[in-house]
Amino acid sequence: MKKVILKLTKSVNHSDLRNLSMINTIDLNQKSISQIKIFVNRKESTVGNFFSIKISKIKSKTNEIEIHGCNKFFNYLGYRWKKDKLFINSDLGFNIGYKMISGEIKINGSVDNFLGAEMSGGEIYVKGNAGNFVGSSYLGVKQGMKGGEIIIEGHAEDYLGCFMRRGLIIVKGKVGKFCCFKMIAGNVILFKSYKSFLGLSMKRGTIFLMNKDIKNIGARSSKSFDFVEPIFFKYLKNYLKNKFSISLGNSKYKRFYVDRSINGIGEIIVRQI
Amino acid sequence: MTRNSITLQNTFAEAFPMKASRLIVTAYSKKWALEAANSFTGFATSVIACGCEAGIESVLSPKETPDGRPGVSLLVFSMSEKELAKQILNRAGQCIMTSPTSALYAGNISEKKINLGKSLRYFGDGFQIAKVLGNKRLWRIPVMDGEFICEEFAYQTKAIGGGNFLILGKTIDALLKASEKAVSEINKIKNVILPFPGGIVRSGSKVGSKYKNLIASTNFEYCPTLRGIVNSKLDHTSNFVLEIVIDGLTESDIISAMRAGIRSVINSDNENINSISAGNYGGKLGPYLFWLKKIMS
Repeated sequence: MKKVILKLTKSVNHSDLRNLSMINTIDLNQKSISQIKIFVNRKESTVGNFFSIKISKIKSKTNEIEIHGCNKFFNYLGYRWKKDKLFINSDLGFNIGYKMISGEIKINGSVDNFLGAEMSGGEIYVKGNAGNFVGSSYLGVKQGMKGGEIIIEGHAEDYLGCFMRRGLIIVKGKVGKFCCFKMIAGNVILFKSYKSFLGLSMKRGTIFLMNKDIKNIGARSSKSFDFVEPIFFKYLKNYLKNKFSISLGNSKYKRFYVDRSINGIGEIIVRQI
Repeated sequence: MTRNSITLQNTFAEAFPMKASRLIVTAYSKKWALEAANSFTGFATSVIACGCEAGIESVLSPKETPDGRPGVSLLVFSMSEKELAKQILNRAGQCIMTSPTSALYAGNISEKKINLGKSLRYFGDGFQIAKVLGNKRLWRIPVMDGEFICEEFAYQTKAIGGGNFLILGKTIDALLKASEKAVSEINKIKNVILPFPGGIVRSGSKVGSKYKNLIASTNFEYCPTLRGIVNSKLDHTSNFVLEIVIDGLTESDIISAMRAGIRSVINSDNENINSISAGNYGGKLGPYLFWLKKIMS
């Protein structure tokens, strides 16, 4: 397979890079990559005008695309990303991995709003922080993330997993308000604290709270009860350990259903340290 | 060909194409995983009347199972896709789901799917929950000991049934001993099962019968009590015959299993074992012919 390294050669203060995802489907050669049309600094241009392109052969089973020199004005990167691995060594703007289908995006920095919004497959890994609406639906759309996995090492802001339908979101840092608002299904694992209105209007789905704090749950919940030896949790632990080297540790759990005010049967599982 | 006073007859085992699926059963302990597996594979010796042939392929350590608990790998074989799907679903519902602490996963992957959790979920009466992790969809069905976890689909693959060899001997004691040793050697091999009780069958069959409705009947050529009245394949000292039937995923799996079993019998160096033969129907039953001498050469 091939490795493509794109290095930014000019300054950028606004960009829409959704067309760059064509790299999934075209022949990976200098000419075809440089001719991909992108919208940069509010003008239509081509990849060749803004990036230097270096292509080499690698032994990997998938193509690897590496982009250097990005900044917070790089938007829509990984839009409808179908295959291949995409590595970015800096911060990015909004709508990263929007409607992503498959493949892998690794970001060695932070991202703005709508990370992985409405994605249906693939993996997104963010080393830094993420903005609002991670894995959520776009404004006016009824279903958010429909599959795939998002791992955020840092913090995430408000409306994480809003209208989420399927998939897995892991946040190792803190989370903002209205997390999992109107969640339909899927899994969210929160390692640290969260702000108010967690699980509000949640229909189904699972929130794992590794932090014992349950003060800010906004949803009306059922009575909590001990959750002993959940086999699905064992499966999930094994899955996370094997795939992401994330250990949830051994502990007891409390479980309750939310949001009972709308007859929801979403579950919040809280680790009892 | 004679080795250690045991004659390897110049004949072949005849096998036929089947459909198969691998399932992984896990439970709280090895004991309960085996209980569920044994229940699932019960009454699954022959497609003649059981609908499928099934057996335990191997016992899995917690490191080898999807949920990190002790488990068992099962192989199920049937003649048609429809029958395989029916048998797996019925047995999963009645034998695995009912067994305490059990969970059920697909052990192989292919394009042909067999409903598992997709159908069993309705037992949850609306309280069932689907979870998608990676490329697998699991169903969490609430039951009285917690939750029954079941993968949405099992997967069907091509397979071969009816690999076999016959052990002919003077005494039943020697024959059972040699057969049991052969079974334990074959059980070490992956991708094969021995569907009969203890891996050994004494009622080897031929295709058809003098009775219209019977699709199989006793293999009279190897019945020692009929030696005087039929064209027997047994000499005057072969008083007992036992057969080992092998179902496997590929030809090479069956060859490996037959080789291990036959080698074990030969190495038993038992003077009460006369010869090793194989069951065939003159090449009419199936396209796979396993010549004993070729396997052991």
